[in-house]
Amino acid sequence: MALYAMPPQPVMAKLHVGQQFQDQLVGSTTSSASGAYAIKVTSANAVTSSEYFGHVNLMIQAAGNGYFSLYGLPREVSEVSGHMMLGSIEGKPAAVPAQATLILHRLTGKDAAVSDVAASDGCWALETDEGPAWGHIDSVFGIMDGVRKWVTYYSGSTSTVGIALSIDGAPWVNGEAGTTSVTGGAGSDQFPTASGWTDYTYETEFEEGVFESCELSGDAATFPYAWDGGGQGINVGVPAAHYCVYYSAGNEPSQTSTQAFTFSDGIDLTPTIDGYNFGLDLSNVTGWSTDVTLTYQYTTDGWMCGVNNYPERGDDTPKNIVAAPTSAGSS
Amino acid sequence: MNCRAVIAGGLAAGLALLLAGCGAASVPKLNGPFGKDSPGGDCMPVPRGEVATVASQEWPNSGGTARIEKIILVGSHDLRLVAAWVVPVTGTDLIGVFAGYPPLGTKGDGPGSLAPGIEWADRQRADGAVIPHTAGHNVFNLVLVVRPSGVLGSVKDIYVDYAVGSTHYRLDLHFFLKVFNGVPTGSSCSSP
Repeated sequence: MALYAMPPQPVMAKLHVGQQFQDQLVGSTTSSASGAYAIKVTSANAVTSSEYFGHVNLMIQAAGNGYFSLYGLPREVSEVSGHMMLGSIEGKPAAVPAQATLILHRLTGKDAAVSDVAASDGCWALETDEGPAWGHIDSVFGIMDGVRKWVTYYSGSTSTVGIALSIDGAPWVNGEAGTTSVTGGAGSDQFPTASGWTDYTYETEFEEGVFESCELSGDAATFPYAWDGGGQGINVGVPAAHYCVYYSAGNEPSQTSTQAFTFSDGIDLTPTIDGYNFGLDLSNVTGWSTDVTLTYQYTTDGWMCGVNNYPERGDDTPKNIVAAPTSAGSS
Repeated sequence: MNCRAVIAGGLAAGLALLLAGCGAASVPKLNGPFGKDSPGGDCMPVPRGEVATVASQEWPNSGGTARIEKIILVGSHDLRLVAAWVVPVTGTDLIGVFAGYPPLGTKGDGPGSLAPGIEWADRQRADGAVIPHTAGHNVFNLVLVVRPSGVLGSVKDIYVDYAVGSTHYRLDLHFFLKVFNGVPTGSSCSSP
């Protein structure tokens, strides 16, 4: 089993069909006969050199006895008290270490004869470009007039999307192989302002590709690998929100999803003799972005309401903030 | 650096306004029983010379009884803290943000008198406030009364330093504030 760090976003975004890329080895191990494993981080540099705007895409590859599997999981790299830490990309403390079960797939034909090392060497090729796919950014809601709302998507914003895996022509199973993240480029995009009754989820486009392992002819995974930009809003219905804060006319409160939390529960990448066991967090959120700002501009008195908590608490992903005319919120 | 308590008017007797990094022997722990806040901010106008009530921030207490040690306005510019309270909230509404003093504001019809569960009579001055463990969705609403000088008063962030027993914590509200004194808020609201 091998843990790899995928190339940073600017490299992935420049891929052309037929081109290969090489993941960097972070650590490796051999599982027990029962399949239990613990991968130690022996090359922290492989992680830190692969990060882009603090985000890194990691991938576990497992191969042996004619079986193969992979599992992707994006992480955030941050510096805490002089130590480089690896933590959950949503900013929530990850249960470290946590268990993740990889579903092994049986290889056939010539692939079954490929050595375990070759099968999990971290080399991939872009087989086909599937074109753009929409990914969620965040949502704005309102049930009153007089409140203008908009979403700003900043440089370094990252969306996580499920990886679909297919071995030897088997049906695609989205999300079974974990998730990957796509980080936007420089600058920012502000989506159109919405007023009045609003129930928009904003989306932006990502370029989706089918990737093949360099050594296995029948192994493929599909996931977004570049940010195309642009945006649209789709109607999703106003959620019930009752945790409300009053704002008088003229207020312009904003909430940002930037993950500014301290990753005190993350993995310390500072190299040591023994390395560190790598923990896996199963609390991945598929399709939602970080590093976006929701702004609500009140031109009349009103309330800002959250679904599961007060708006500034930020427990919800997406934010699910509703502009409402009274403290009763929305139902 | 000498740290001095700033007394303002009759409303802030005993209130200490401390600059970030002044007098602190060590950094308090994050991830305490008050939880975490999501980054955000607000821009608001007030009539010239008026104060602003900023009460959009809250926290629960998932641990034992805590005591607030100080409220810190980080990067404060032309903005004076007139008063600070913590108010128990047993309902689902916070006091909010408006011009004038809480709970009614300059219009006399502020939300404080309208929203059930805002226990205004049980408020404590923030400095030294005792925060018991909270059950369910009960929280404590931070109420700041600030006065801008000049055209624009601002802060970059607000910290709530508190202690549970001998352990010291910090709740970083990740909250910026701009108060426009007698002028509109302008076209773009962003952190100062």
